[in-house]
Amino acid sequence: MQMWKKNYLVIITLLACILHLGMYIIVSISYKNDFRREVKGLFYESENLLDFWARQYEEDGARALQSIGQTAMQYADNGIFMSLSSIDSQGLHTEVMNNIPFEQDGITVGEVFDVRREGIYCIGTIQSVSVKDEIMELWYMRDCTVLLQSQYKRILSAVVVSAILTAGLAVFLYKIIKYMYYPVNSIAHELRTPLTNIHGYAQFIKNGKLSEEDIYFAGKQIEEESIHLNEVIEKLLIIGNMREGQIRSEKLEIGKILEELKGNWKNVNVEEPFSTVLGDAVLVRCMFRNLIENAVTYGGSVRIYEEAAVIYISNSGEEVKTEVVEALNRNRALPLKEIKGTGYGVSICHEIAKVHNWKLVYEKGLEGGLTAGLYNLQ
Amino acid sequence: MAAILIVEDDPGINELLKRTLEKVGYVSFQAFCGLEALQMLQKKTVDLILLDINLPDMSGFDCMKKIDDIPIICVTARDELSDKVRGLYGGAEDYITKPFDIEELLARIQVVLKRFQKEENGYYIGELFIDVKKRKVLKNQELVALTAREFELLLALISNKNMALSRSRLLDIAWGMDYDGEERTVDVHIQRIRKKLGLEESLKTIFKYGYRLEI
Repeated sequence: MQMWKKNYLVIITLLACILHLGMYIIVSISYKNDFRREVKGLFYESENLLDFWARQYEEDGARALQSIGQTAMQYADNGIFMSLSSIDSQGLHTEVMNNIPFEQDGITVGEVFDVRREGIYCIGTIQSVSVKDEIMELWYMRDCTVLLQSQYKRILSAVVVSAILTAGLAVFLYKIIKYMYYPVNSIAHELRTPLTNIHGYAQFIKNGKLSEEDIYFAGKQIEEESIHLNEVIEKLLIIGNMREGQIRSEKLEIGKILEELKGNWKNVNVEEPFSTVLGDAVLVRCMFRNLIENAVTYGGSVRIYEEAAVIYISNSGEEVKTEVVEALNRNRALPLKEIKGTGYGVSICHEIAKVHNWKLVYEKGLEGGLTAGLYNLQ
Repeated sequence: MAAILIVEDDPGINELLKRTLEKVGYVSFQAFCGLEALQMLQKKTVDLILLDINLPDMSGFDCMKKIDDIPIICVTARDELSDKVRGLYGGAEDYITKPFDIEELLARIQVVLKRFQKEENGYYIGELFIDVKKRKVLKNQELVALTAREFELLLALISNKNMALSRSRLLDIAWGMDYDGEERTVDVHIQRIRKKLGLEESLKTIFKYGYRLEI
């Protein structure tokens, strides 16, 4: 597996873990808050109710107990279950009413407990109060099944949302990392061809029974491929430096640069005047060298001129396919048969234009050929 | 000797393969794209194809689908496992990645040719005839007694003629990969071959490396 894919897998696994953990924490905190609210309500209601009944019992005595029992039974319709009993001074329990569906032992007064049985989830507490010489004890339970079910739904939603977010992030990151590592991937292929030549011809010289012509040919190949290898490395270093943002800005006379460069090729016409721009001399020179080289490679004579603060490099070669122009503008890989070099030239030009906040746009020439325009120079 | 078609778009590598194969004695044809290779196959009889995967007009995998009955060795810079598997499932007999070792490439070519029974039955070197099938050597029609190891060494040198083979490679061929003996053992056997077959002139010692049979 390629290194970038391993890195990608590690990053996405970590992100997925963080995302799921984050969702779990959010859902847990939210449930804890809801539960706390329920418990608060439980205490508030049970204390108030017991106080109210205690006052009734104090005023009306045993007569009140009957109406208390009836009222308590009505609470059951709202999911509130109660058991009310009075304990006299000798410890004798008298049950006033009881509609609690589940038995629960070992609970002390003021403690909160929860019960989950037969698909019902309840939380409850015990409150007591002294009335006359007796103690009134209230078991108060509230049906919280809806709270639990909503928590289950929340967990499910969190898992689904996390999964969707992870999938979205995975696709996004894959594209980003692939784009970032694209030059690294291409380096391997780009370097292997000259390396295979050098390695192969070196072995050919070492092992073979060679004629003078063989030796000359192999030596020439090694020399040419070394130059090719050096060019590829230089271009890659330039890309590397630009990605780290290492550029210097100085006043550059484009006309001078173009005049110096045009001597490398025949049929290159530089039509003055040109503006003075701010930029990195090495990178700008490299960009123009590549643009002119590409224009020359794709045939015809080359014309360089400036119009309305846009520098154009046009050639009069064969007509270029629309999809090739699109690929050049989107800095996308061209089909192999369309590439007449390392294939990095255009990519480097786009990168250089980008770090200077310029824009490089390729267009079909009016009479065939291709025109590269450099915009936003000011 | 077997005829090999080289399908490689890089002119330097294509020429390197051609020159190497011809030094060893193979007949070679050059094609620089898939279409040219397919056209050439209609005109020439080819025993083996060395096929690059990244071709300008079509991928080597697509090209492979259009070729029947001719063994293919993929020679490519694509070293991912998925590509290797695709190549081998696609019909390639072997898969070798760039940058490759010439000795290794020649060895793989020989193995594939042997598997398809397209290896030579015999070789003539001056007054010598080496019968590969019967494993015997005749000098002026008279049998020369060679040990099994001497015969293996001779065969390796003949099938890589004009290309040097390292001592370690010769040791692997004649004694097997597990042999732990000294490389100098090869020297003793080469001396004997030279004497028995009168190859003192053509069986050259390559300084600090190995031996080369020059024909």
